[in-house]
Formats: sequence, structure tokens, C-alpha cells
Amino acid sequence: MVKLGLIQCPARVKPGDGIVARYGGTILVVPDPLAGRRGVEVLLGVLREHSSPDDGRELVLEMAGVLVGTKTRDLPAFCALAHTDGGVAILIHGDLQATVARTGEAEHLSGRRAATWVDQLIEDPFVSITVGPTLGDESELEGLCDLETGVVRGSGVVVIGDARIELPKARKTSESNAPEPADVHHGEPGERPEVKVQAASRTRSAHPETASIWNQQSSENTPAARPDAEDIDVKPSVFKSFDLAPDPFADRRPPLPLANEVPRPDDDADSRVIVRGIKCANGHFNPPDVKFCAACGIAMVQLSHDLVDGPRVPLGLLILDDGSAFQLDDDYVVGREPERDHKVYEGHARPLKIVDADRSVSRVHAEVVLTGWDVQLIDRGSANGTSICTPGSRNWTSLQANMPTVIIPGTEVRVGRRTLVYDAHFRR
Amino acid sequence: MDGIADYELVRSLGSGNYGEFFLATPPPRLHIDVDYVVVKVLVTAGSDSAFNRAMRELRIFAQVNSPNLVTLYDAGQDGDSFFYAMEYCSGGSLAHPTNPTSTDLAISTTAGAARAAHDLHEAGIAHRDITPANVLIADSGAKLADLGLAQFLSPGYTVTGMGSVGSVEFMDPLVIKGGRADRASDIWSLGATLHRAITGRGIYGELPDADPVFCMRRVLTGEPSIDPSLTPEVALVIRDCLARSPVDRPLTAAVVATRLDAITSL
Ligand SMILES: [Zn+2]
Repeated sequence: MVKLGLIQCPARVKPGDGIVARYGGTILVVPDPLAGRRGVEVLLGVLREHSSPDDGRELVLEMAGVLVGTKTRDLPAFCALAHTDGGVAILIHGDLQATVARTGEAEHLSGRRAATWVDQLIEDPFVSITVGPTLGDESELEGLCDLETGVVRGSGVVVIGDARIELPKARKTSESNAPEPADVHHGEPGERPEVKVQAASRTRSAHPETASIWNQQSSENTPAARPDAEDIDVKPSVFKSFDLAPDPFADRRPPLPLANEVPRPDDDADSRVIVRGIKCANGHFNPPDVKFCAACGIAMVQLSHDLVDGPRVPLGLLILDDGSAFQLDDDYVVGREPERDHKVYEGHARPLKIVDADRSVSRVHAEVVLTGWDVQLIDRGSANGTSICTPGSRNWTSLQANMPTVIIPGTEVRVGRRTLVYDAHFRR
Repeated sequence: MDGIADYELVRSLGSGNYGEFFLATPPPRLHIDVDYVVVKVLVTAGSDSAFNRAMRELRIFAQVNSPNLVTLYDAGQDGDSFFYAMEYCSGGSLAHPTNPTSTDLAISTTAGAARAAHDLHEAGIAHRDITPANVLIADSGAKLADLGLAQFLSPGYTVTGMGSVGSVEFMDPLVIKGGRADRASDIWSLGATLHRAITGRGIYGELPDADPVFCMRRVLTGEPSIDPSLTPEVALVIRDCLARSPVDRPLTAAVVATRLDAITSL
């Protein structure tokens, strides 16, 4: 595929009273220039200076400089696009929206909730980039004029990228209350890649040099050892919407089996841990020391207690104080952001995420490890500690950091100010 | 929660550790001609594979052509949150109906939800979260809303606590103990939903919201009891749905719907 780059992409202007400017590899959209005329002059000057096709990052840096050097109220909302080697650099200031359409997905950037600005590198190939005061897409392309160079009146722009397979049909507005599922962007059937879902890009990620004075997000990489109250959450102003159209290959499934039919093979049967246990008269696998079968309830006393190997069945639940519960059939990392732990992102443990407005729970607070039929608890050096209270006792015992402790059924576990209870499926 | 994607949030409709759902106005990019949508926002420990699993379920849901399923308009990701937007019904739900519901309306609405569940099952997915709050009352009949995605977004997340702690009464105890969600577990939930909708009482009595551990023990060790005020015909359908063993329950949700329709047409 021949790469065009922004300098050669068609750009169609949406009608309106603002201005749309294009010089070389740069485009500027200012829907409401009256909100700051002097600012518009400055922005246009910067645009002309940096119109050469290898200058995209420079342009965005320069625009960011204008923003830093100007009181926000003197600048109207604007969006600048600039050609770079691998794609298009985009910067949005103020209440403007951009939609980046790719095959099978669309990403939305909004300056509305950003305190300063949003910038990002949009990598090739894309289907289109639509910029305007409201979120739009290329469905209204019909009748729009191409802008090759210069300044014209307009409220927004649609840049048509390399990845376009065909111009989309004009979208119909549903008359009924039951419209078809949102069809985002259809590619050729069968060519559509697996819907790609990645962590949304953070705002201002492309240019840390200029952004750092604003960027409180850098605190995110500090380990969880320091007091969690210092955390600052910055909500990214970027979101993605996904194509709900079926993937004809991945999404077709056979009907669910009836209860009297052979069940489907278990997806995770192979990953079950093999342990020693006993079987009830009906063949259910149980820990060696239970009095009743957890599956059917019959007494185990008359059995010979022959130990056999079998796949471990769930040991019980961890019940959180808000009523949610987690199945104890695998290890967990407990915390406010357990996904940051390497055991979670490497797939060795599941995340047990506690949404804790008080931040009394550390990002990675504790860990639950199943060994045989036992449940072990480990405090991971959390700021506020982990303590346990065994059933029948009223005393709370603090765990030493990183020292595994076996907890018995009924044990209450305190992580920060939140409480979990280990409720076993077995009666011993 | 200070907003999600480009939706204008009107008000919260409920929340839990797992997330929150909102009444919202739809953004213009969806090109839909409705005043309101319901947006569900799920907090995730989002890995790529978790999002992909949840999206796959939603795509199958969107594809099922059933008059008794709500329309799915949009799904996406905003930061660490997963969100999706679906049809809003002004008639409310069996949990919070806009107008008082008669026994017949509760039965016929649950029958509609059962047909929707059956259509999902035939498409290869279980609903996993049938509760009175998810059975909506529309002019055109019943609409089954939402889909239980917690397990997909966060493996092992068995009970979400969404709505209220007591909503665990609508879950098949076999699933709470780690069993797989399937036709039979959705059928169990239909029975528990109908019982609550007609009698206003739960099959385990009132579960105290303040004590989740007690609720769980009650649900896992107690026998469900059928309210004596129910007619024998309705009581029998509910009792069959709540049978301990899946093979003793109606084999399909379509059977549940047919049996309920037969009662209201008497
Ligand atoms: Zn047994």
C-alpha cells in the first residue's frame, strides 16, 4: 500500500462559521474563532511556519507552547493535525471532539474534560479522522468540499485516510424505537481483524517534555508503598467504541446443551490443579477431611476414605463487604489496582479489584494463594496492613508483610478499611 | 463517576463494587432516535483478553434476533472502564414497575423474558443475570435487559453485589459454588424472579443487605420456600424451575414460557 500521509489525504470541510486552514502537512480547525481572534492569528502563524511534511511533532510542540504561554480564555477551542512519519499528530484544546475510525473500531478523543489539552499520535493506517464541536463521523461526507490549501469557513473537517476500503454508505437514522445495533465501520467481510482492544492512550502522551509540568499522571508509576492518599486520578479524555457487528468466524456458537445432554467440555479443565482427595458415593471429588459431600450433601463417613488424585474443585468464596464474591478456584492479587501486579499481567493470578474511594486499600495490597485444599493469605507490604480474625475469636491479628498465613473457613480478613470473609463450600 | 465516553448522564440507576448503571441521553454519533438509553459502566482490572471476551458475548447478544431482548446500541472502553448502552423502557422493570403490576402481567412479562433467554441459549450464550431489575416492561411486551459480564471481565467474579446484596437470591446456588452458567441456571433465575415479582417476597425470605455473609450462607444452605399465597399452577412452575438438580428443571426456557402462557390464558 502506498502511504499517503496527511499531506496527501483528502480533507473535506464541514460547513459552519468557524475556520478550517490547511498548509502542507498541517490542518487547523477553529469552530468559534470569535472566542479569541488574537489567538487564532498566532495559531495560523504557527501553522504556516510548520507546514513542511516532516515537521508534525514540531508543530504540536509549538502549539503546546502557545497554550502554555497564553491565558486559556484568550484562545478559542481548536484542533491541530500534523503529518508525522508513522501517522498524524493531533492536539485538541477545549470543547472539541475527534473520531478516529479504523477498520472495526472507532476511537474518540475529546478536549472537553482535559484541563489543558489532549494530544496523541494517530498511527497509520486509519480510515478517517473527523474533527468538530460534536462527535461526528464520515456519514455526512456527501456534498462536502475538499480543501487543498488555504483558509476557508467551516466548523470541522473529515480527513480520509489510507485504510479506507470504500466510502461508507450514508447512514440512515432509525425511525423505530428498535434500531439496528450500531454499525460502526464495516470492512470487507472476512478481512476484519479481531477487534483490537488496548488500554486507551493517555492524554498528552506524545510529548512528555512540554506536558510534564501539567502531567500529574507520572505519579502512577511509583510503587504502592507510599501513602495512597497522595494518588491523583486523572481521567483520560479518550474512549473507544467497538463494532457490534458479528464476526462470522469467531462469534458463531452451537446452542447450549440441555441439562440431560452431555455437557460441553470444560474450557479450563486442563488448567485445574490436581490434588489428593476422596470421592462420595456419587463420584463427587472432595477434600479428604469433609463429613459431607459438597456437591450432593451425602455423608462421607461410611466410605473407606481412599485417597485419589483429582482436579481441585472450588474451595469456597471470598465475600467482600459489599456483597460481591470471588470463587476460590485460583490465586488472586487483592488491591485497588491489582492489574498492576506482575502475577496478574503475566496471568499467574487473577485480579481481585476493590473499588475503594477512601483509598485505604493499596493498589497491590494482599495475595491469596491456594495450596492443596488450603487458602493462604499474604500481605504485600500494604500501607494500611492486612489483619485476620478467626471464627469465634474477637481478636484481630496483623499479618507480617510477605509472610504466608493459612486461613481457615470463616476467617475475616481486613484490607485497609474493607473486609473479606473466606466462606468454604465444604463442611469439615 | 464523572461521566462516561460522550454520554450525557441523567441519573444513576444503581451501583456496586462492580460498576454503575445510568440513565443517559445518547450521543449524536449513534444516530438513534430515542430520548434515553441505559448505560452500564463496569470497572475492570481490564486486560485485553478480558475486554475481548466481554465484547464477544455482547456481539453475540447484539446479533440475537428476539422481540423480547433489549437493543444494544453501543459498547466501548473509556480508560479502565468497559461500557455499553442499551434500550431504555419507560415501563420500568419487575423490580421497579412504573405502574403497579397485576399477577397476570408479572406472569406474562416473565414468560417474555423466558423466551428471550431461550433465544440467547439457542445462540450459545447464557444470560447469567436474570433478576426482576433486568426484566423490563415495554408497551410491546417484556424485554430482557443486560447480560452478566462480570465473569468475562474478571474471571472468578461470581457474585457482583450489583443492585443489592440480597439480589444473590436470584442466582442458582450451583453457579455460586463454581458451576457453569447454562440453560438450567437461567431457568432457576426465572423462577426466583417470578416468585419475587408476584409475591413481593424472596424465596429465602428477606435477606439482610447489611450482612452479605449471612445472605450467602442462607442461599447456599437453605431450601427455597414457595409462598403459600401463590396459585397451585404458578407454584408448580416456580418449584420446577428451582429444583436442586438441573435435570429436574424444565429443560428449556421456552418450556417455562409455554407453561406460563398457559396459566394466563386460562
Ligand atoms: Zn456427592
